[in-house]
Amino acid sequence: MRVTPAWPLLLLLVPAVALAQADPAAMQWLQKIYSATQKLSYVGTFIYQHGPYVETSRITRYVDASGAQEKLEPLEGGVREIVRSANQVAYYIPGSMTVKIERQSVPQSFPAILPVQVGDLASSYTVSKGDVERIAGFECQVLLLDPKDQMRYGHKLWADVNTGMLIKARAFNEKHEPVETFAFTELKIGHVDKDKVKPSFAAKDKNWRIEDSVATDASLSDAGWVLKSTPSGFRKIGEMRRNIGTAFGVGHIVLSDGLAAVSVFIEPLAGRQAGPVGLVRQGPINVFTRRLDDHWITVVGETPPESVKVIANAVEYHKP
Amino acid sequence: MTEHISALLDGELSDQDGLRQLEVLRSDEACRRTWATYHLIGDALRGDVQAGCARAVSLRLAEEPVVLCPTVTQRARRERTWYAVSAAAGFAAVAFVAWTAVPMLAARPDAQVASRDAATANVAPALAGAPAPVLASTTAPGTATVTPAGAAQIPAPDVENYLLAHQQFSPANAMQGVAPYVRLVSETAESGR
Repeated sequence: MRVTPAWPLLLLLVPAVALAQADPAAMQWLQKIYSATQKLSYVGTFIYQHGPYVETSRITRYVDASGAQEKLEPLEGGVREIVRSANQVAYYIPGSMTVKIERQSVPQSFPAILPVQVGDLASSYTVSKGDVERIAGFECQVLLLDPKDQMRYGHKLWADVNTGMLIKARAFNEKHEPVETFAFTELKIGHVDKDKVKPSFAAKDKNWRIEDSVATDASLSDAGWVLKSTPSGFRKIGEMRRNIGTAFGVGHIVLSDGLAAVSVFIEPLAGRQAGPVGLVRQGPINVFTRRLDDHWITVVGETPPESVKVIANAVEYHKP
Repeated sequence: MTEHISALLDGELSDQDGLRQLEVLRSDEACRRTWATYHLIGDALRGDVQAGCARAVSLRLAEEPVVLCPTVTQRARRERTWYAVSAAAGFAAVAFVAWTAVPMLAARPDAQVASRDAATANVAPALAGAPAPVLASTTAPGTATVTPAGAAQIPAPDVENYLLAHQQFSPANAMQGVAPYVRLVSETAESGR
């Protein structure tokens, strides 16, 4: 019993050691990006590129004392819109008069999780400062996050020297090929009218179909679901029960290395046939599916294929 | 011409242009074949095709008029399917066709229903601009391609739901705000035109 009080101290040292390995100036820059993202209001146009595809979208962010509200509108293809606030994300698809609402039972407060994130990051990525480059008219500090293994992508970030706002971000695979790029082509930081982040569609209109999704914290390990191992650097950041579309009681475990996240969904088949086993991909997102007894496992992550596969295959059920 | 057929499949043409295109299909056999091929590819990608089907379809084409009835709605166009990732990049068209002849892993019944109206919409855009029935455009870098081993097909609305549930937990949001949600609304299949 006498040694017990020492443990919390040792645990505190782990992120500290990891931080010590990283370039402190680069880590400060990361911190600057996080706080800029929290504080700034802006409106801008950005391109999103993955593989041969390039798409343009508009993003509007309004911050006041009560928090942030953001709106994302693709400028190409069918009209769609995402409005995100502290406790929910609403995805409007006017083409089918559908709004998908993702509610969070416990609103996440970013400041509270930040120090942990930054510590985690440094144990999975080598963070370093690059040159200053000009992007969309902004002088930007380049930051490099090199992954320490092949279970995650590398990242190159361009942050506005003055505000810390992230102007461009690119993810790389193990061959250093870009898998995804976000880049503002036009950006106005500063005052934004609150009206600009309101949804453009009145989903209360009775003709709209509302697909509501609610998650409740729940211990899946108590229910017998465990991950027998996880790739180095990934730890559990959330565990809940939720609905996915019309499927209810779906177990959801979230793992993260501080930058990339992987979700494990465990769904009772409940008499339905199992779906196809394997991998699908879009840009950096990989989805791996498999069957485990009478359950269906879907693993989704912005990580390389191998990573989602290893995590999917680590799911086990032990009768509690 | 193929892009008009693709647009017709997508339900993108105005009523007037649609009628004109249907008229072209009635009179031009090559166009009719392309139309049928697009549908066949849609069926194959969906896993609705059994071995020997291509021959059966050809035989039936020879004796039956093709039903010219574009039913793809605006909504269906939005719903794309995420196709399986090929282990080997640059999968050849021949290999693709050979594989689709093999019965695919059955999708969940509800999933099949969900993807039914979507598949035709997915296929045509990927092919538009390429001489029919070449499938080379489906193997363009960054495009998901189809593989015979461990092939998966998940209807886009399903992936969308998982992604929506997942995205809020990504620490990248703390750096990029709502921007990463663009992955959800990205219309990859169509931008490949």
